[in-house]
Amino acid sequence: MSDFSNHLALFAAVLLTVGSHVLLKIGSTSTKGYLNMTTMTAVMMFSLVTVLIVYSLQAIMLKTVIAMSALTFVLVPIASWIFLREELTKQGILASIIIVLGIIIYLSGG
Amino acid sequence: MDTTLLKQIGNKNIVISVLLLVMAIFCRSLAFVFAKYAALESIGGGVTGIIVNIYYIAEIMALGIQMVFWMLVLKRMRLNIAYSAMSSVYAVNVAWAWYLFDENINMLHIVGCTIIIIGIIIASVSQEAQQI
Repeated sequence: MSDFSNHLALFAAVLLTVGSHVLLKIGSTSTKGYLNMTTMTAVMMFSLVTVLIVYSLQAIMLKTVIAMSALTFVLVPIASWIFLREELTKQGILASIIIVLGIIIYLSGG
Repeated sequence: MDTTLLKQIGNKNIVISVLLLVMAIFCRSLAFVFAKYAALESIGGGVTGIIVNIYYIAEIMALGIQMVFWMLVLKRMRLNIAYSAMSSVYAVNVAWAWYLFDENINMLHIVGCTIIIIGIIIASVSQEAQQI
């Protein structure tokens, strides 16, 4: 059960990292300067991620957390395509497939 | 200006840029190491146990220093080159996991890690091409 909550924390950390990247992008284009509500929310999310990562590492090995954190490179382009209407290039999609393949091979190593 | 002098200045700048990049990679990987130590020391301590842990504070400091080095790197290097090089942090972290925490690393981890790094390099080159 404890292991499950640690895995859940890791998953939440990955999703929050993606969310904070999207919010930082939105905040950076704000006319109210860099210190706006959106940017501050992103920074708070980043802070929460550091705690979640430590919590997940209490039960999950460092090598596994490292591999899972690479998922952000796949999820950030997808999130920016959905929320920011940024273009998904063929090269970007290919890179995402390669990263996912790498994570699967890596995690199959135990 | 003398071409030899220009060459020397150019070489010096490259050396400084690479050194800054190495420091950024080192600090980023160190943050994960501190996070693992914080995790080992705060088991059962809840959120408060994590936040007051000295290794957690060290992790935050390592991330802060890494940001400074990263900004200095980005001032001197193209984003796609810097980002691609930064992906090597995964390999460094795998080495830390094996060396400091006795985690079992096998051929699948090495192959998987290499493929992840290749993927990140392609992604960063693709992002750069999109910006141009």
